[in-house]
Amino acid sequence: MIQKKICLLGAFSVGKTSLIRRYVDSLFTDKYLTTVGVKIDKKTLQVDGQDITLMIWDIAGEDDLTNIRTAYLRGMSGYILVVDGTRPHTCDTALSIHRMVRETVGDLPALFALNKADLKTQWQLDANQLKQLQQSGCPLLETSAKQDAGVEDMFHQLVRHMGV
Amino acid sequence: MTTGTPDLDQLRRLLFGKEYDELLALKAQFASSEKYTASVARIIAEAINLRAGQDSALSVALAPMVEQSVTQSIQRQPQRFAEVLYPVMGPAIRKSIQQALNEALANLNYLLESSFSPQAWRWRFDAWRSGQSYAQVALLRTLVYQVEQAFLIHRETGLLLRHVLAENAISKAPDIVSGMLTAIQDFIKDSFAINGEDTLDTLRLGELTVLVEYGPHAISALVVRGTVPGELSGLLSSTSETIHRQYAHQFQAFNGDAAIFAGAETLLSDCLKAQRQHRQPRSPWLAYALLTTIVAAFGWWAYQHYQQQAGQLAQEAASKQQQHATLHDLQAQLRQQQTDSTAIQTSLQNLLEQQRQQAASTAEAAASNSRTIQQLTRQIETATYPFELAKAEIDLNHPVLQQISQDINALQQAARRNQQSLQVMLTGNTDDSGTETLNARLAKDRASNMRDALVRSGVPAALLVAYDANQPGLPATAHKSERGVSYRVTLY
Repeated sequence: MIQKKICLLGAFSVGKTSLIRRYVDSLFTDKYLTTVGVKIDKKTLQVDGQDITLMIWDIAGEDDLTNIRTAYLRGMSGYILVVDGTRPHTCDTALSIHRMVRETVGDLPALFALNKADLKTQWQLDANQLKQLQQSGCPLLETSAKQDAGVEDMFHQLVRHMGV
Repeated sequence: MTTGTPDLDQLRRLLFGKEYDELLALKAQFASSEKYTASVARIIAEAINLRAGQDSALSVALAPMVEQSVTQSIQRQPQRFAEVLYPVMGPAIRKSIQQALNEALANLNYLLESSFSPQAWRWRFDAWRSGQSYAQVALLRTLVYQVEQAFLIHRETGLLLRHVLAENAISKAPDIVSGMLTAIQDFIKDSFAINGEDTLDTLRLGELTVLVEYGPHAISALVVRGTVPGELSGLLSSTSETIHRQYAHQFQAFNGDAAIFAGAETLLSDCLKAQRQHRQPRSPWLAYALLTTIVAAFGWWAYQHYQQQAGQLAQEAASKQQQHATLHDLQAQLRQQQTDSTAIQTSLQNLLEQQRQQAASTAEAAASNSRTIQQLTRQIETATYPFELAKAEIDLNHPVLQQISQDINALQQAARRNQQSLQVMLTGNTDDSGTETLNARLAKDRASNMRDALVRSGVPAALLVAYDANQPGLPATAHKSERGVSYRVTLY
């Protein structure tokens, strides 16, 4: 069975851990627990008839004071950049991380997840930000860990994008 | 050997001199496979020795070919290999069996001790109190150390390549542990900005120690419970080196499929070592006692079984003997009965013969008696006593009277033998002379006198009846016109 390491990246509290928990354990909670360092989960899925095990690295969020430890990114086959639509600066953070990864690790399969789609009415992303995301060359998906919308599709798209 | 035109060849000789010939010879050596082979053959042994002393690349390169050659050779001539290995395998197998038996005895003894000793009950109490299983408590109390898990982790991705687990150890999500081990390593290095070559080689939590060995492509890790002996680090390092040497190509080609490292499990399993607390070598008396009990019980059972079998056999033999004796008796009885039957038949035949003879003799006697009766009857009835004229006196000594008397007695005896009774009627007769009255009286007297005379001469009176000639009812033949008495014999 093929194993692949993928990472979920993004600013603090964008819902990386919630997306993973929804995907791996089919659970969601509103209670927020910040991730310290890194947390690893495993999920086996079947894509195009092939079994694949994803080792999902949930890497602590980045803010102005904390940078992602790039050592955690080593050896990953792809990554998901999570954006909280209700907080516009998380989009900038995601784009910044994307650039950093391409510079330090290389050009890897990636996609942007516009999370918290259940709060879409409260989204504050402006047109320029959305344009930047669309021009990044990566797929852009709307997801909601709370409503279990687009979560599985997000991981499947990344796996296909990785060419497994 | 020359190349090109003679002028060029001349020019080369002028330029290179004597070395040109050496170069040509060297070229010829390479061009001719025969010469080149001979040249390599002179140095190949030294070259192999030299390279083997430098690194293990030669062993790695030759190993597949040697393995394949040995495999093919064994497949082709297994008997030859068996003969070659026999002197080695025989003692090894014997030693292995003896060691296995000793270990089994020791383990049995240990099991008994750990099951029934006070220490075992104390451990059970501890297990009950702490909520752990008895096996876990016993393990913790008796082990100096045990390697519970061994990991082989892809260094770049943190993906788990292989994981082996000791028999009684517990493991939770080894692939996630694998990722976290690399993450921790990265975290430490990143956090403390240590020298790039330094690595986190030991983690410790309570009784657990994780030994980590970093190779170029993979991280090898051992999870050890207890006091870690120094040699474990060396073992881990050598195992990591061996894996890197044997799986160099697989590491290069790794794309996420860990199946290509399946063979490494054997190497990792060799690291799952354990050492129990030193126990004073004691005689395994508990095991001996148990074995003795088992053997005694088996012996008792076998003895009882043998006795039962022997009893049954003896009973069967006695029964058979009795049956034989009974059969013999029955045969003897049968023979006796057959003999008796024959004797009875013979006796019956004899009796029948005797009866026939007796019947024949009886018939003969009866016939003879009948003839005697007839003869005597005739003699009596024809007898004539000569009375004198007009007289009735009888001379008792007269031979006729004597003869008649004898005949009547003989006839009586013959009649008795013939189951008959005799009666003789005497009828007096007279001749025609004289008067009728006188003749009647004379006839009566003559009959009466004859009766008397016969009675006197011995004839029983009951046999004789005297009648005169005129007695009515007499047959005509009884009356004769003569001087005498006529006799009529009647048998009834």
